[in-house]
Amino acid sequence: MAAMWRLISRGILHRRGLSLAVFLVGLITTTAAAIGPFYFRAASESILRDHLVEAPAQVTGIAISTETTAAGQPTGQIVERIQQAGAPLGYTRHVSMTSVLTGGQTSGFQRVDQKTGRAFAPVVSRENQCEHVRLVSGRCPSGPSEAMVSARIAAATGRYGYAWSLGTRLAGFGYIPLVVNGPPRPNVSINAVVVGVYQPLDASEPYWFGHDLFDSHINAKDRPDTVDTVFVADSTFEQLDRTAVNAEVDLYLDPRKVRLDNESALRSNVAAFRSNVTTGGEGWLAATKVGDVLDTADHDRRLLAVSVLVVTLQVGLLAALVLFIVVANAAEVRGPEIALAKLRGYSPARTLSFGLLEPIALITLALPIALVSADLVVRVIASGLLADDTPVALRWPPVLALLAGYFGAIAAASVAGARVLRRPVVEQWRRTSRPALHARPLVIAEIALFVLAIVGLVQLRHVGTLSSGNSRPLALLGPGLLIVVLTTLAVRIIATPLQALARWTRASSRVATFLAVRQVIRRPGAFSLAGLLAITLALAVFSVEASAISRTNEKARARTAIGAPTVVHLASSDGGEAIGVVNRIDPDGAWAMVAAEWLPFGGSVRGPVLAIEASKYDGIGYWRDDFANHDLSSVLRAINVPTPSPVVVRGNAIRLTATTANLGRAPVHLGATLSDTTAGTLDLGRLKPGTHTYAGRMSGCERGCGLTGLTLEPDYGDTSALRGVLTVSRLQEQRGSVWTTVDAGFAVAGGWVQPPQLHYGGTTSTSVSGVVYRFSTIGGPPPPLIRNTAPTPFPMAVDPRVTAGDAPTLSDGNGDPVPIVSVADLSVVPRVGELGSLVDLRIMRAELPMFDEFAEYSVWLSNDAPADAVSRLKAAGLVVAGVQTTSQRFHELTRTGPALGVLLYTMTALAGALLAGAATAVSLYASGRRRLHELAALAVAGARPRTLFAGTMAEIGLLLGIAAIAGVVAGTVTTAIVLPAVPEFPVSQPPDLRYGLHWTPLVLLIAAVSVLVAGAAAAVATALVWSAKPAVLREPAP
Amino acid sequence: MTNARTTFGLPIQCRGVGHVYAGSLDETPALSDVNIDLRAGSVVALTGPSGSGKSTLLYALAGLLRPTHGEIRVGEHDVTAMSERELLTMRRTGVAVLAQGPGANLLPYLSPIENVTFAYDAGPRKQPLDALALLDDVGVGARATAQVGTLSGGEQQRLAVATTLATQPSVLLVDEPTSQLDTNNRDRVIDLLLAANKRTGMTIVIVTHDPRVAERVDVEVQLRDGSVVGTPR
Repeated sequence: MAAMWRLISRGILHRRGLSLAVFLVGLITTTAAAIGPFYFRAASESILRDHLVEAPAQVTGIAISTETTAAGQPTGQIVERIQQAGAPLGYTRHVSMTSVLTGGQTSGFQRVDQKTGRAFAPVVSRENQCEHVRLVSGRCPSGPSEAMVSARIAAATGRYGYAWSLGTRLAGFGYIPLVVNGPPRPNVSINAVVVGVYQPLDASEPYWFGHDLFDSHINAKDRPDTVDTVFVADSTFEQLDRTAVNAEVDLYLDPRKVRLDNESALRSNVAAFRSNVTTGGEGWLAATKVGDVLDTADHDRRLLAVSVLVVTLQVGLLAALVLFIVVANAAEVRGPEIALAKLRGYSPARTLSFGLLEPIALITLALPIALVSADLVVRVIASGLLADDTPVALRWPPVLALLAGYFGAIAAASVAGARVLRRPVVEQWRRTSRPALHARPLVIAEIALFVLAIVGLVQLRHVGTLSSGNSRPLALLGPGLLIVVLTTLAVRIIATPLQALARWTRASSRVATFLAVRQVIRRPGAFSLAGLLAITLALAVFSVEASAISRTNEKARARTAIGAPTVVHLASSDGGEAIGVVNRIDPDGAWAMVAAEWLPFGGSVRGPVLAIEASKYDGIGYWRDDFANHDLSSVLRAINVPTPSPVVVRGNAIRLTATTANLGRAPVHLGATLSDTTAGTLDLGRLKPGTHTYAGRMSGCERGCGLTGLTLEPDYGDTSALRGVLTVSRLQEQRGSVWTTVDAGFAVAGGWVQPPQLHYGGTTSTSVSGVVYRFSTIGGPPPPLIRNTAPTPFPMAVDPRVTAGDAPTLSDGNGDPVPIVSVADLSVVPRVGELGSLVDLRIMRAELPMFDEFAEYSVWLSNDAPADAVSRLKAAGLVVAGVQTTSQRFHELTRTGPALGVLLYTMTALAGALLAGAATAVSLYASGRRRLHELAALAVAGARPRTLFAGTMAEIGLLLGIAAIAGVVAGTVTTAIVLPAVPEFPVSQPPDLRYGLHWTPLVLLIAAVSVLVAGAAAAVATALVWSAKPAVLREPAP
Repeated sequence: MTNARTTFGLPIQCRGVGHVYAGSLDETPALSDVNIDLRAGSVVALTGPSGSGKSTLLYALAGLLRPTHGEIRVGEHDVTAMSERELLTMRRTGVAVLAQGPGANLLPYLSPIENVTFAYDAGPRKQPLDALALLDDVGVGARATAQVGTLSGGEQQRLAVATTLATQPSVLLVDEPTSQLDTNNRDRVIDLLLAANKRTGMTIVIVTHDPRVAERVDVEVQLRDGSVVGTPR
């Protein structure tokens, strides 16, 4: 046996090139087998990591809370209970403690009394809180009587003249308002002095754990004012006695500590922990949604598992086929040696060993390297395409797959070598093998493959796997099956005209053509090689197209999901503030736009509404031509209709000229509602019969305030009936001592109206004198007259599926209907998806005064936005609750289970094409060695080198050309037919996926293949003809 | 001379041997009713023009090709009735074939001495092998460990003869042993074959179209169009 191994090693060294080819193909075959499970493991880790990282900290974390009294350290009990329960796997123990003074409400935001400066403010102590805020002034509270207020509140309260600033005393207990200034008050929970003014560094950072602590706005229209959290030192609570507090401890999950290995342990650990924490204590809560996140990741992973299995089987089969061809060619080269062994009378077993041990040794040698290669390849993929720090670990599945691939490769090599091993010695000497087309085993194999592929396709079709819109991972079998069918047919069909061409050229003077066609037809394995090349090329075409199309779809989904290249979510829902800031930092509206999302309740329009600044949207937001039944500019024009301009007054006083008739006995006060002022509503005086002027003093309106409404109020406590006819005809403003008339549009029809949702107690009309208001109410004031800056009906672009009725309306938040008109039919709305509506933000805020209260605001940034745009927004005072980018979302989408399946498919298909290229090179090399004698003989017989070159070139070109054409056609057809059934995303989301062919990569691929084909043909033909000297005839023929 | 007479030749008989090559489109008759009797220990030349069936008859004698009809006996054995396994055993133990051209008889990546050993190792031998002595006999002893590819054509052919002799056959079937050799090497190869015959008594059948080779053998069988047309000597 030692002698045999010595012989084998000498043979391997002698045929270095061929041995290297067998080794490499064996390496790729076994690597391909192992890479699937390796990849699956790494991709699964990546999916798990992505899901955990993408989920907010409060979703994966555990929030433990209980209602307790403030005596002692409020969170002490929780900490103690956590210590008893044991920290669950992967969680950081009590990284923060939150204590919130509680009462009727807990951490909700409360109103500031605009006249007294009182506010219900959440009072919070959070561990290490000062490390997560920037101190604008003062210092961090450290004692029990110290507090820290937000810069926004300091500024907002400052506008009223009673700023919360350093030194301000805050006092209160529980839900009792904090009292501004004054001496320390007895019998209250908290007496604290403001020692610091802060600004949160990043309201979206995990530290804040999703707690709504910074939603501050004051003096918004008809909505409660809210105050940012007042932070105090923990010792503040320790000194409180019997005051109810909500004590909370947040446990953060570190995603890096969670791996597939400990996922189930994490689940059981969290369940046990929650049980331990909540058992035996009423009111104890331990909330987490980490289980949901793990379930979603698990679902994603299962989709990938099927994809990986399908792809691995296909690539394994393909690699084995390539190995078969390579070993078959290598065996052909060794034919004379095997014949010699038989001639010498070597036993069948020894001949078999002699013939097969060489490839088996090479494949065996490749085995450990394959394991390392698979590991290396997956590490490269993981570092470039998977989630950061994705672990790549060796487990049993890759090893088993490697062994399966190894034995598959050995089997393929054995079958490939069998042909030569069985070949009679004389046949070997005479080289009289029958043409491949007539080789029965090959034909049988092809027919079997063809039938299997047809059956597979029919089965997939039957169970609906290949139906568009019914994406299942098993559909990844479809391309391979269809390609096998198409290419087998194409190659077989093309054989017939080639045989006819051979007969025709035999009788003609076209020697080169005859030689080429004849050689292609008679060469053993030529058509199998062409078929294999065609299959792999088709797979490459499919995968390149699939990859390009997937990328396009992923980008479209990412852009649709996010809405703009960058979307900055705001903690505050003060739309006016957001609009003002954006107008300041981007006055031209070139790269920033304010948007808001809102989910209406009531009314006949259901589904989410996206409000945008329509005039800026085109250059910032994403749109696709199938989102609406009109183009974007038409939609934007339709929702952004012109509206009456607001009435702006400047100076120190205003004066109205009004005529009153038919007044009832109850006294009625005329008021003016001003925006952007601390005054709110000005009392202009009691109405008197006849024509009079009514005046009131303004403050803070030197640069302009909006006159948004006129009110009629009874005296305080009077519940008598109010009635009368009021005609308002003129508005004047006073600057210094000069009164100037302001065009308020009183005589313009529709300029001043009752709010559409307040249609009781009066009617409005217009006369040449001005707006006429006939009012009549009992027990309360009539609705105000408001400056109508909103069109009626409200223009909305809506999804027809979410509107009902002939006269659709939108609920204004109070349950009152606002009539709408649908100006465009939408199928998809960026950010909100399907079943949504699109409106103009300015009109929306005008139509629905309470819109801000329920809306979630964001600032959308275009690609042209400066790099520090987010910093500028923060610096301008906006509190950022989070930032999303299209590119980030795109990368997330490329790492979902189905996308990773397509990625694996693409990589393996391209590797398959390379493998087939290697097989072609080996085949050309091996057949070239055999052809060399024939060419030398032809040269000796007088054939011109040019003829021989043309013949050889045409032969190789013909073979590769057939494969190239069949492959490209089959790949393109397969892309069009099967790709829509291949899953690209774990869940269905808008917009619809598009499957139009991407011509650029296809043309580039065809060009590359053509160049390779022509280059290979020319190189091989040149080398062969140059080497075909008469002396070759003296050498042993392979 | 090494390996003193250790084997005895076997007689060869052909009775009504015919063979037709079946092609994809047509059939080509190669042998037709060949009847010959070759005495044990004789050196026989099969001569005739190209396509006369010389090599086909030689392959049939070696059991490498089953004739379409007829019977061939080598010694006691009916070659045409033997199984593939029996034929292998026969070639391993008694019937050696020297194929046309040295390339078909040698492994190019082995040295001369390894090639001889490769042939010897095919099966159990009656006598131990002194490979170096055998190589000396054929005149390549000095290059026993060189690469085969570096040997001249004549040296390779003599090495090929040595590899067949290493199997210690009773019958040696030789196909065109001198077709690519110059006069000097031709004579040396024939000398080697005749010396082996003299030394061991093996029966040797040589296919040749070289009349000077035919002149030196015991019997010449002439073939034309697949039939025996004469036995001048």
